[in-house]
Amino acid sequence: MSGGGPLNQRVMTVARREFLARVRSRWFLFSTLVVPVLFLGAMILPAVLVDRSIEDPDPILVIDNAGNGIADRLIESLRASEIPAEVLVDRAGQTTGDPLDLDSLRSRIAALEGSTEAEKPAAWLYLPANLIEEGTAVLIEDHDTGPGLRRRISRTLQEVVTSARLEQVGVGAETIEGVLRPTSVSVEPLNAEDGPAGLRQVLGFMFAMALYMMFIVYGQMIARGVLEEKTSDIVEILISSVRLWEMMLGKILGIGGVGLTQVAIWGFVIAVAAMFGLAGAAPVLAQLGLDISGVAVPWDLILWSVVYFVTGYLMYSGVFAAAGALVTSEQDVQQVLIPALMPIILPILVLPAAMQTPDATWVVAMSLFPFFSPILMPMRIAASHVPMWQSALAVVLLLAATPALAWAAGRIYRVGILMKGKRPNLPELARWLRHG
Amino acid sequence: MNEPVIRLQGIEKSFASTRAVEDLSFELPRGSICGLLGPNGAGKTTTLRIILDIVGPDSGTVEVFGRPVDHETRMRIGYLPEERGMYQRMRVAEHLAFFGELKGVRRSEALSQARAWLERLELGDRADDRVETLSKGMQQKVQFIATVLHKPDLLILDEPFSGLDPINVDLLRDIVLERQRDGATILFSTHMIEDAEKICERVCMIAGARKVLDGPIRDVKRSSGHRHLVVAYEGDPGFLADPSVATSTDHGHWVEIRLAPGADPQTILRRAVETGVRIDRFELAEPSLREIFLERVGRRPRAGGNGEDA
Repeated sequence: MSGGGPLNQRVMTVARREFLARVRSRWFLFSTLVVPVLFLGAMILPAVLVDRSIEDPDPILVIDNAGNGIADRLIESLRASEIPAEVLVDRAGQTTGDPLDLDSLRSRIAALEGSTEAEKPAAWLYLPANLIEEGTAVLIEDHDTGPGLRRRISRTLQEVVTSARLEQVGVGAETIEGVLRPTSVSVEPLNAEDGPAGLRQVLGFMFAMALYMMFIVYGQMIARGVLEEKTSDIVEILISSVRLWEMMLGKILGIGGVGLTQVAIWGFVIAVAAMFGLAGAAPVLAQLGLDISGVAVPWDLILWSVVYFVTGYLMYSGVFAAAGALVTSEQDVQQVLIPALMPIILPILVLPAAMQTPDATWVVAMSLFPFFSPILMPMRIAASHVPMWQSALAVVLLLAATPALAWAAGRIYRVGILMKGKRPNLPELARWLRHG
Repeated sequence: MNEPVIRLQGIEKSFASTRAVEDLSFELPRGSICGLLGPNGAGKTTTLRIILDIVGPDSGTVEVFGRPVDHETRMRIGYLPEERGMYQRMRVAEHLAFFGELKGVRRSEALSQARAWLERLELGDRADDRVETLSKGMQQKVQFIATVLHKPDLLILDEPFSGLDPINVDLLRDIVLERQRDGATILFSTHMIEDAEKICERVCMIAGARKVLDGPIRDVKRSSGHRHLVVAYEGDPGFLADPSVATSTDHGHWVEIRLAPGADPQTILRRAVETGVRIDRFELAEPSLREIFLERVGRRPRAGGNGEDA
């Protein structure tokens, strides 16, 4: 009934209470269900918005002074890419009347400003009479049309002008068509299952940030839970029933269970999304420049991240319990937590640099160090090819650091939890560690 | 066989510059119900916490059930601390089941016990409410249930009745006495001496960190060696200045008089009647605990002035 093992009935009773108290809370429902929705929304919404604006773009008006059918070919080519375009003024071949030069075009556009009658075009494309010789057109934009459209216009212009020039020197139409046949580059990553490098990096960053947030959120939860028991004197009753280490371990396991449950739910959502949603999201992501065709759900990364969360949490959770036992008020928690959190914040500070060179010696070294590994190693696994021995060594080192940290945390917790009044200073803390 | 349930020997405890307990030795026989009395700050709570090994004494030994307090003994104790800490967001029945389970009661058993107790303490309809929705007195009753739910052999209650109305005091007192009939030993602290007098067989009085007396109430009263006179009256209290009156304590509606050696109560009655005082009650009685206590610690006990009550 009352075995003395580390997972005895009392530890499990405490863990169960901690777990249920939080899983049943509104906070859990919110953070588990709403956060991923917001997260996905934040990722997909810009893509959808971009898509929407492309769906019904304003037309481009062409002022053609160049002739030679260049304008027609340009418009045809633009329309083929679903960009509406039409000729506004066709002066080519006219010898009389004042040609619409660039300056009068500008003043005419200026006169349009403020008038509501006509639908405004996205831009005016001015083709000068000497287009074929000089090769320079002018695009006057009403609003930013974006690099994609500019590139397309410029490429089309290049084609059209080139073929016109070739025609002028007497090259036959069929030959021209043959010469201007489109080329393309087909990209083959060395490891096909990797997907594009950019996506892997983004993924690594997301996982590192997610783990960082998890540690912070769940660490604070431990500290606050301990503080609640301390300030409300629940601890007084608890210690008449359970041993202090049982209280601490039960709380850590219970709250850790909440974290794992949350991760499991997220994992399930990802799996379902991967099965049904990924194919649908592909075109949207493609608009963002992310080609996810051939990208599988990175299960290796997910599994390692869970392993690092569990081992990292077990190692570090004692520190949060001790932090909660040290203080006597909610405001003090923050003050104690900030130094306690430094080892977790540091890897986030170096993360942008580390992402660029995931295999640099300093990054490898940091990613093996117990305090940093739970955050840096998943990033490396995502962004690079981490040898199995490195990812495993990081876990071993985490496990090896756990008893020492738990011992120190347990001592501080034991003294602090029954202390009232002032927070101890560093020398006092050192004394607690020595004498416990 | 009948060794004491609690045995303290030469307990000393200081906090910083305050002496909380000085040279306290004390034994509590099995099956007895004992009040730990003393003014605020006398060291009652500290004594209880030392018995439970929540704080260790600076010197001296503590034995409960014949051995130093360990985890197994704690399982047999029910402790009601003075600070009533509860998980405010938990539901009442679950809160009780949790603490019962920690004491080794099976969960399903603990839950049904909790509901039965709540019913008995007129909180049956609040079983599924959150603790935070309960009034202070209700929370105190719930906490009391948590103390007795696992049927402990030893109940240690710190100021169990403070802040409760008389109906609830009676409810809890009946449960305490019932536990005693079932063989449990009970030690409770109180600064309300009248509370103790109503239900205790034994008392242990401490004041200023020192024990001033200890034993069965009967013996305590007998050994005080004085006869007391209880007088309820209306009118001028001048008759109390009679030389036959050694000391008198005003209890509000009545006075308790300790007679001077060799004095005859009759002279006091005569003087009272002569000065026109109307007498409602006039009887010889054993001294009250309060009177004995005041006698022992001096007329002006060092109330409150001796450090925190922790």
